[in-house]
Amino acid sequence: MSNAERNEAERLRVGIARRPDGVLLVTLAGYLDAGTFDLAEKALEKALSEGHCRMIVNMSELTYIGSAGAGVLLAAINRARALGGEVVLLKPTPAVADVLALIGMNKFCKFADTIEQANGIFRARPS
Amino acid sequence: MIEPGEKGSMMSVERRKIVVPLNVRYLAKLRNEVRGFLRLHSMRWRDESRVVLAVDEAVSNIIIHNRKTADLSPIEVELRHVDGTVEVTIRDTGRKFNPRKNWPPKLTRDRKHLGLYIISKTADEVRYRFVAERYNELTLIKRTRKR
Repeated sequence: MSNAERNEAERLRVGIARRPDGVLLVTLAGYLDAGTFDLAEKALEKALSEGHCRMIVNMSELTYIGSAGAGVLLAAINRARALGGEVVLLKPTPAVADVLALIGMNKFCKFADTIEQANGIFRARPS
Repeated sequence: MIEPGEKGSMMSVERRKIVVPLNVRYLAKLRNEVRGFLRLHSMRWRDESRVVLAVDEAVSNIIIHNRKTADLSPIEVELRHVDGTVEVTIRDTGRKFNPRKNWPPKLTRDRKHLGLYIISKTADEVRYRFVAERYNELTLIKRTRKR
């Protein structure tokens, strides 16, 4: 990890865990703005290029999102769907949910409050 | 980063000036400063969040575009609260850019120009002028509702 990436990591933390059912759990914590989006973008692109097209993005500790961050999520969702998968956004904070609604992503994205709910979405759309 | 504020005597005017270096690393600090100013005026959380978002989007765009040029001058953000209205004026010396040229921006499927779309949806009024052929001045106006 470069110095620049280490600094970004202080402001956006990205965690990745593979669940036994094959779904990738990606945790974004901190803020996703024009200064940090590339860290999330790299992680999601890497996961997708490795064939993980079913993902849960845990947003429960994401305190802020701007258009750059929303663009990253949108690109990941489109790519996952093109691969026959889905990205489910887990428990976005009210501030983040408000931004996603403002730009119409609430109609386009799949949301869940729990992992079980997210799994239900994957079961309804098997890859 | 903050210059001292002022209070007008005839009507309630509060002002704060923030100088933002041309680097996206300062966006979080800017958001905190703007939020701190807005909190003085008991805005509803959604209005407060959206003003912060609009300022962040405007300044992010300026940083990204101006860093491609030789002009790395900082950006000036001036916050004013005048009788229930928040005015945010953003000044930069980068290339002339009138965001109101194709206004209001539309929400496209690929979410292009999302920052401008967000600004158009969050501010009650957006003004632009290129001042003295020297700098861009973008003013976002938000009429506040008390909590």
